[in-house]
Amino acid sequence: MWGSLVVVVFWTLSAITLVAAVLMASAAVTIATRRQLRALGLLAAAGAGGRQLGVVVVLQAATLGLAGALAGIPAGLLLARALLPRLAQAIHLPMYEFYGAVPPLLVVPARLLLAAGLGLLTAVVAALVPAVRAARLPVTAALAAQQPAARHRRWLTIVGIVLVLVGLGLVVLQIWLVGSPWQPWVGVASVVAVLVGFAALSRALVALVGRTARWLPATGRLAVRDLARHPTRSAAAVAAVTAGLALPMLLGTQAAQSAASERAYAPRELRADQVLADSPAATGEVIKLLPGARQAPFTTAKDTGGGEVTVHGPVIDHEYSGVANQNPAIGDQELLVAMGGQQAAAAFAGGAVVAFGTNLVPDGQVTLAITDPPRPARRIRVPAVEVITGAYMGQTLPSFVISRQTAQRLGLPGLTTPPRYLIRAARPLSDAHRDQLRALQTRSPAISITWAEPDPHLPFQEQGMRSILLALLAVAGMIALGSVAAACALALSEARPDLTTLGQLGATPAMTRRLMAAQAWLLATLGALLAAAISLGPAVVQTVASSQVRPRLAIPLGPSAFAVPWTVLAVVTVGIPALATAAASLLGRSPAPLTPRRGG
Amino acid sequence: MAATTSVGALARIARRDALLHRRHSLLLLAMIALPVAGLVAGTTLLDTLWRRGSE
Repeated sequence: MWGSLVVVVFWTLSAITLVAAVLMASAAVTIATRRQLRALGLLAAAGAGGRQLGVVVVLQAATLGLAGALAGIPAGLLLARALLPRLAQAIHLPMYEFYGAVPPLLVVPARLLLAAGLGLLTAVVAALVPAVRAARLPVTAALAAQQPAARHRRWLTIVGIVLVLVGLGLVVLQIWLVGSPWQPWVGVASVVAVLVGFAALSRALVALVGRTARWLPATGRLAVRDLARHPTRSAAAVAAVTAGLALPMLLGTQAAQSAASERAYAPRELRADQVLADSPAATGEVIKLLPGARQAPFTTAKDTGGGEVTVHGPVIDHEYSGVANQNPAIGDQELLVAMGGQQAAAAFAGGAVVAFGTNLVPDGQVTLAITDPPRPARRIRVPAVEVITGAYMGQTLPSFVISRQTAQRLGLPGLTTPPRYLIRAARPLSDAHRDQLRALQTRSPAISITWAEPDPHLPFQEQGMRSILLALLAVAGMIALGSVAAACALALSEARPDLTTLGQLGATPAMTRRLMAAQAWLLATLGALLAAAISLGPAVVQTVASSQVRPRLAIPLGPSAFAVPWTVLAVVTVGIPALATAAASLLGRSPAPLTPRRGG
Repeated sequence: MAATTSVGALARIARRDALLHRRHSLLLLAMIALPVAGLVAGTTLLDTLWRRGSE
């Protein structure tokens, strides 16, 4: 199970990386082609057709792509060799755990060929758009090294919007396909569609930002106008930055969602936002400490006179079912909400037993075994629904809930036992809250309250997954930094002639450096904002859609948890642009010194 | 024959241009080499750690 999850995560990341590589390489080929316009013009003047000019561009990219692919194979094998001991340790590989032995690398030649082929394909695909543009170039414009004025491509904006909508539609489809083997691959397709769609919108975004120029001070106005005046170059750089930053943003968002989901749905004795109290006095004290918390009284179907109800079923009675407490809790809707099962409210009100767990009631029914002396023991079948919002393990809370009205109708014992109170706080308990609860218990020993402590011993696999995620984030961060540096450097080197002209017209070196810094900041910020939209947009849609769709599924699931990876978001949208700005202003060279005009 | 010669000539031009703009060429080469290296490292590690474990 874990292995297949790693495979899906790996191929998702690979697909995103390849799309990012295509976008970045496309920006590089576009700018390289612009530099070779004059040479291409000479070829055209000597009789070369448009198709042949395109072939030159594609062949150049393909040659470099092949060289890159051939260089990437030994580099990848060396990287794998270096990472292997750390990964073996992180996933607790038995061979490494017990003998300290690192397994030899299993090299599959077919996979190396596949990687090299994908690298070559990436270079060729990246060169297609610049090649088509070179093929359509008028000879005179090429000889003058002038790119024809860029037309506003409305179709590209439409394609971008359609792709983003298709990607978001696939996110919703994924919710319907829960549990199906297709679900992970629909997820991969949705990420790729949203990524390419937003990257296609970079040109429209540059045009939109260009309209704000008039409200900016001189340097900002010049920077924005220059970017908007060269939409092809600027959009390519923004798309490349987006592609590079999308990877850490997606990983960060995924990690935050997993952590939120873990908090909301993992099996536990009590959730992180619940407190169990045994009396109204204790409940009152706890609620004073947790403003906004709601309480739900409940009894367990077991009394001191020997009366008891236990829930049975083929899966529930299995020794590996994980159900430790087979007595159902009896309470009202508030109890269901406090336990996190609000999505099963209709079935609960209709008399069904709500089971917290996965696949506990495959046939939608459970048997209640009722012992209520002096009446004879009896067994009855009642409808049941599952709620996969994290099973309750251990004895603290029961895994089954039945409404008070249903319990009265069925004549179940346990209705008159003194109630306990489940308190659900407005948000998960903080360390400070737990300290206050501990102090309350020390102050009033008669009060009995229970809450969940964070688990200091996370399962081994979870620790391994966290290490791998951190390693992936580090790699993604390096790729992102490299791509931002490359995109900004390419765009700024392309803008150099314009900056030189400004210098000749009297702009001071400090002013041109400020201009370069402002352009780098704009490119990096626009790319970062698109990357944030790529990762957070689908997550928002998934949360909103899942709260609508999931209660209607055969097995009601809770809505997807939503969490914003604030640290990664701040690094991507503020830190990286600041770094790009600092690098551009420190490393950017002043334009060429004043030279007299020829013939002037 | 003519087509082969034509492609050969175009490839020579492409090679000359690539060598002329070395910094750009190295950048493009790195942009392809890095994802390929990542793919090779990833698939090799997956095969070594998981496939072997399931055999």
